[in-house]
Amino acid sequence: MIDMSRYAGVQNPQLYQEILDKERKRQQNARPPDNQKGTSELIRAAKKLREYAAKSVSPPSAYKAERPGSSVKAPEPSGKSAQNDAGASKKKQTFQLPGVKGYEDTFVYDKGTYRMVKMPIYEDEYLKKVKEQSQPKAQEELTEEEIVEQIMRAYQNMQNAPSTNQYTFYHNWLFDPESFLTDRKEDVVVTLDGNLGDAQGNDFLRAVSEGIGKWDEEKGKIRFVYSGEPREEQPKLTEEELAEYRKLLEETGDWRPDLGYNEDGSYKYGEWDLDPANKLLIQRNKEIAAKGERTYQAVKGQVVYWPEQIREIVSSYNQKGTARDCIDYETATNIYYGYADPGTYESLTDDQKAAYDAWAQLTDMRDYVDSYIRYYGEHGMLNNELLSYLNRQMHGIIKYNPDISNYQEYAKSEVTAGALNVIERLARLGVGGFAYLFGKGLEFLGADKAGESWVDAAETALEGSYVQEWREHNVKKYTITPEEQRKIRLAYMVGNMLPNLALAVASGSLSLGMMPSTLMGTAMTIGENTRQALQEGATVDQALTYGLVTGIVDFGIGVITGGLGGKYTKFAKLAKLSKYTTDALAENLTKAMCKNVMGQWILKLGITAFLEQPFNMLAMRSEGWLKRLIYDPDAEGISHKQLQEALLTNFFMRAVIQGMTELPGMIQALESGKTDAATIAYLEQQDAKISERLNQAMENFVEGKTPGTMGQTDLAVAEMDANTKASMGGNADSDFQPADRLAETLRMELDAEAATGDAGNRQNNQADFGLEGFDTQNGKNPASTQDTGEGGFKQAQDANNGPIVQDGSAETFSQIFGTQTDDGAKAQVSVDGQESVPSAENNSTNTQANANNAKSFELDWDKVVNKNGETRVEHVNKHGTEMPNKKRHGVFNGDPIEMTRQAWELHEGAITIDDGTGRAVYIIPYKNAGYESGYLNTGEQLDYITIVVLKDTNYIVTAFPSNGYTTK
Amino acid sequence: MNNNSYIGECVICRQGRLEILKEKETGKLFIYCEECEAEWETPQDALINQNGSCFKYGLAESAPLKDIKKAGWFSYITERP
Repeated sequence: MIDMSRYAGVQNPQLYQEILDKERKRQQNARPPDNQKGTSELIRAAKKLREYAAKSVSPPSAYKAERPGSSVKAPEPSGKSAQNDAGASKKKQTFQLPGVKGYEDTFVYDKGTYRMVKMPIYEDEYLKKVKEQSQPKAQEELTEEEIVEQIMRAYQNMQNAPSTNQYTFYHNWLFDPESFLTDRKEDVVVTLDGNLGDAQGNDFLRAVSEGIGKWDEEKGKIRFVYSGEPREEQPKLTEEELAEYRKLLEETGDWRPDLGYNEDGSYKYGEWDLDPANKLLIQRNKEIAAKGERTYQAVKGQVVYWPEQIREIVSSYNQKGTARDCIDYETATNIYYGYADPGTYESLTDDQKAAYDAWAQLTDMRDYVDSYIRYYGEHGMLNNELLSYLNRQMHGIIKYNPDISNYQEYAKSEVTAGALNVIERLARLGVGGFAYLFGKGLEFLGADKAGESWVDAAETALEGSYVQEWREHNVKKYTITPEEQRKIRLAYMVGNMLPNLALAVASGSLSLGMMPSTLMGTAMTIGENTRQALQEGATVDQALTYGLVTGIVDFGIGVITGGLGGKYTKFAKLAKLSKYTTDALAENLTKAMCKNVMGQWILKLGITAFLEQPFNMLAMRSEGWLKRLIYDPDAEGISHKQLQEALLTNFFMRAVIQGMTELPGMIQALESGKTDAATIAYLEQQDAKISERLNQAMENFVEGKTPGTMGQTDLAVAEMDANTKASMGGNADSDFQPADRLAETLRMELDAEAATGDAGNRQNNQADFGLEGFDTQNGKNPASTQDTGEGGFKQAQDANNGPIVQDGSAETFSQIFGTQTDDGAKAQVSVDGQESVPSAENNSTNTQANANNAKSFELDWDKVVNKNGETRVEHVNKHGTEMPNKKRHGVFNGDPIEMTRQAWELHEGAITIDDGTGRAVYIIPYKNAGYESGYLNTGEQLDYITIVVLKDTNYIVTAFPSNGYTTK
Repeated sequence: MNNNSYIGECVICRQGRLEILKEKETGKLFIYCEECEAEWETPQDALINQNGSCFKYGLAESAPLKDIKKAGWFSYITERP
């Protein structure tokens, strides 16, 4: 019958009919539960469900609040005392299964806790299977019939449990967390909890459980206990059971004095009837014991031979004569328990393998015995005596080291101590230094006593060290021997380095160079040496003097060895130190040794650190002299061994710290390098195009297509740039004859091709734009390239070091070859890959005129304003101040505007490059125009001024000192 | 320009850094050399100097990060203050 009562409010008859049809269909389609037995009973159970659900029955209350004072609680009795407020829902408990991976060894029943002992020996495969079969999908909503089906499946599994008396926990979400089944031979106790989360759900479960209980009366009574509800039967513990239960509670620590027996033998806690769970605990205990017995019976046939086997293993090992401890305990345990890196065992020597194999066999037995005893207790031969025997034999092969973890913990603490020591030392130096100066000031002013107390305070501050006290405490805590202390001292040194490393990374990112690290190192030197002097008996004055002097020496070494950089370039420059720093020396060396940028950098780090060591050695030696001079005439200097160790540490520290400082810049340089590689490839391609254009020009020339080629040689010579002529070796154009001219042109072209090819093959080639290859061998080509060996293109210079025209314009072409061409093909170098403009489109006359205009007019500073309104004057004036955070930023050695104007007056003979964006770039030689303030080649003298104007105009875009487009 | 996103060094002048700017009028992103005023439409063009221009774009400002990401240019950024 379809229950339409809930739709009583539907007025629309058509809608009502639709709902009725749907309900009817739903009922018809409802899947009957898959139940192998008792289908009619199931239907009856479902019917009962609905009846119960129709009532508003308060769910049973949760148990009372936990007993105080124990995390492991005894199970509370069910029944009246557990009645709670209506509507309180059951608190979800955790429930774990034994023998199943991922579960812990305790589970909670209601609010009580039972301690489950681990069962490392038996994996409950059956249980896993059962669980897999019965676990529904998460968050799946089940129909009533499906819920019944779940329960029936649980019941069937219970029926199908192997009759081995094995204790099986069955975990089904419906029963979760408190349902469990005991062996079916005894009374089956199924406890259902309100996991469905509401009163109706709880009642449903109760209804179904009652229904099931009534079906299986033949197999054995299934007693369903619903939390909080009184049961029909309240079995009491027997005396024996009570005693056993008490013992269990004592073991778990949950036994309290008020628990006990009355005179009549009943429990003092009268209402504490034996809950099925209570009984279950005892039963569980019996099960464990029984299982232990079974296990023992199964293995005793083997165990009886173990003593003999142990003797054989040990004897066999001893006969090999392998030394004890040829492999350490930590490695052996790591291999055995699978924590070692792959291949560790294979990397052992034969002796080590023999030792490990023997030890591992004994460990197998030892672990088994250990597990058995911990789970089941001693039984027969599986006892503590056998365990001890095995441990002793194992110890004889590989020494048991319980202190491994101590050693590791101590090493970690040393690293921390090293880092904290730096911070503490700097802080104490600051505080102590201030106190000292203040005290001295007071003394100077006449307040001797007050001053003295301040100086004393300074002494205390400078001499003390909480970190050292902590280190001494750790030595005792981890029971570290002096030998171990000596071995672990590297950990302390690493810790010492960490703050400096962090500072190096930070200052590298901010382009501050090595200065911050150098200063920190100096401060540490002052602090440590002051403290050392105080501990050796020096007065505060002496100690501070000693500390300061050694600090100055340390700082001086930092300066000499390149500890300056970044913002302090100017000072280094003034002191004329920049070129002579170890950094600069190392850079020159590495360039000769390695072409790869990264390789150069790494080599440079190593060489710089190496070059610093003689200075460090001098400084360390000097500490002894200074001690004798300042406060201890009998002081000994640093020993050889200490010196070696210190130099090695300093070498490493310097390389790493400098590496960290320069790393951000290096990364950026490498990124630019990628760009340059693309540019190189592109330029090589352009070389081929230029050659092709030149060939075309030659053909035109030969065929007479180029007008005005004849008869104006003299004029061309007269117009030739003086420098060009000089670089041609003074060859007057009168030497050229048309016929010879062609031959010369062709020969020069062939030479130019060869030079171009060479340029393209240079390693590490950061070729600038520009024509690479007119050969100078004949002295006829003014635009000679110089192979710098760096793959670069240096500006061609004549004998007088004057600028040389090399813009490939028609004018230059004719000058070079003693001809005058108007619109011969212009071998204009285009960096951007644009085809050079054909001569027909680029009227040479106009070009000439424009060039003349540009020559004759001064720069126009007003025409160009950039996107944020910056004028050219403002823009160029930026090159009057340093910008060390840029890779390159030339700074003028004078007024930027004035110097730019001066350079422009010489621009006629400068290298000019059409950058393909409508501008012309002039690179004008200008000795000592400025210096590099960027972080690449900081301090380098710049001997050119680069001026960018809009093409064919004098509208300046920018100007800055440069190095003439070399590869640096 | 402040708070700029740089993608590398200008290949032309070797002084300026290549910034990502946004033209105010059109909202279009482009690459610009802070030193020599060269412009490119894409980072790829800028880094190898092809299809460059000069004063093609009008007033501009530093491109917001979200626009840069939207344009798929975020990976080109090598330096941000």
